[in-house]
Amino acid sequence: MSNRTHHFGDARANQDKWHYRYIVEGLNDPIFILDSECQISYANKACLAVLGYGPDELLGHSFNKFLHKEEAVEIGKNLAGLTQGTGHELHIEHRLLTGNGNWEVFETCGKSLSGQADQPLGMLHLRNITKQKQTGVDLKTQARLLELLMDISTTYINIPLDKLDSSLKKSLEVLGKYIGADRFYIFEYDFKQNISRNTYEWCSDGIEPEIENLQSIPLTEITDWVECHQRGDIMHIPDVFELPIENGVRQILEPQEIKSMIAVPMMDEKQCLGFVGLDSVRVQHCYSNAEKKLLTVFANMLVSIHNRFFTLEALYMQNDKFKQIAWMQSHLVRAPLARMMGLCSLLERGKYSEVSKPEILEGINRSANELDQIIRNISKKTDILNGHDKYI
Amino acid sequence: MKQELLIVDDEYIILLMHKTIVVEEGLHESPHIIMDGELALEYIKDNDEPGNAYLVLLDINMPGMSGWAFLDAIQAQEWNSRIHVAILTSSVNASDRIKATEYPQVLAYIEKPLINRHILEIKEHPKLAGYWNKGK
Repeated sequence: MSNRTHHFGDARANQDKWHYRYIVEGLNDPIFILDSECQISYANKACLAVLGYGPDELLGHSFNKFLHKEEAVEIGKNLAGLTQGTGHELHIEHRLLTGNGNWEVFETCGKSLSGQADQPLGMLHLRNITKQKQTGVDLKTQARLLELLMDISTTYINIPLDKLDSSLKKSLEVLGKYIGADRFYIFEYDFKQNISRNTYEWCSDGIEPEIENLQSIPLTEITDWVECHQRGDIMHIPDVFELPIENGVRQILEPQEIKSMIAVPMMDEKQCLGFVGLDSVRVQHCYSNAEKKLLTVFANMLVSIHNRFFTLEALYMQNDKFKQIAWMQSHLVRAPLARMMGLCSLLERGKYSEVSKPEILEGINRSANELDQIIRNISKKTDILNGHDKYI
Repeated sequence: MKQELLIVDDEYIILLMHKTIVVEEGLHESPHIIMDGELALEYIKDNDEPGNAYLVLLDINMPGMSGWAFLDAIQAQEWNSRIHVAILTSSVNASDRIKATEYPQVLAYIEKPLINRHILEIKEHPKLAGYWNKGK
């Protein structure tokens, strides 16, 4: 009976062991058992599917060697506690090098176990949370992007002219840092002089400003660039060194050590006023759709500001011309007129001890001619104000 | 103690015309004619003695030191309380008339041409009455 019972007990134990193995091997998450030296003594099948490592690449190797060097020391201490029986549980989040060479993020739970002869072991259950983490980062990035767009909108609505310069400089810095650019700039196109001019620039620490060297770039040297912008398209060069050596854009960008760049046109309906652009000097950068969107919003905002101040400037100029006309009428017209009136009055008096009659007549004649010229000038300015200057 | 009258204008014919009227209407027997603000300022600095008083018939729009610049310059002078100014200008601009009131030395704002009535107004100004017609 006792033999039978014993036999039955062994069978039950084997069945439980088989069940546990079936469960562990069937799990989608990697499971490790580490020995007291933190070396991997068991790894389930999911390790190959999730981490990309086969048994040969894992068994007998230290778990620590797969950890990121910034985290290895701290996590190594925790694992040592787990496998040496001084700590019983752990719950950590860490990076781990996968078989395809990528660093991915895992949430790992650990528990102390007792092996043969009560030898302590550690069991680890890993869960890949890279996607969740990336989603979190994306959400944060999106939130920051929205915040920046809000900032841009509120900063530039009704901004007074005297605040514009400092606000633009600040915006370039904030957006440049957000995107991680090395240089952020605004250029205007001058199609009358056929040149492009750098009006604002922000540079990250250690990057040489180029604004002084970029005040008069002939548009003939960057025809592809200008044509792209005139169509309203974004000029995006992820790798400057992929451009042909003789390409004009490359010849401008390469001496500035620019590896990647993007330039978004500032379109006023079908007219291109200039562009906003980013340079990556230290590393190559392929600008994302979100970054392009941000730059486009900023460029559109600049167009709106340009139009507002252009209208204001036109009004100020017109006002100045009105002031000039008022001043001319008040001072220039009245001066010869008052002189003529005074001299006529003197003639009328018949007494003019200090001045001779020919001098008075000459004074009247000169004043009349002066008055004639002034009236002609006023007429000319009025024609300009009325837009008739092309007939002058 | 002297009471002097300076006529300041950049046009020579105007200076002669105003001098004629000032003399003939008995405001002053021997006014000085000066062709810009700077020369007027120098004249006063060079000739001033304690107790002297000056009436300046001052044009505004002059090359070099304008009438306004002359008025600004005398604000820093300790003798400015002995200066009286009648602005004598062709400007009919309201802003000029308002600006003139900002200077304590300005007694009158006269639009050219200078006529007898203006001389009478100067003579009868409370601050000058019985004063300038003695400046001989």
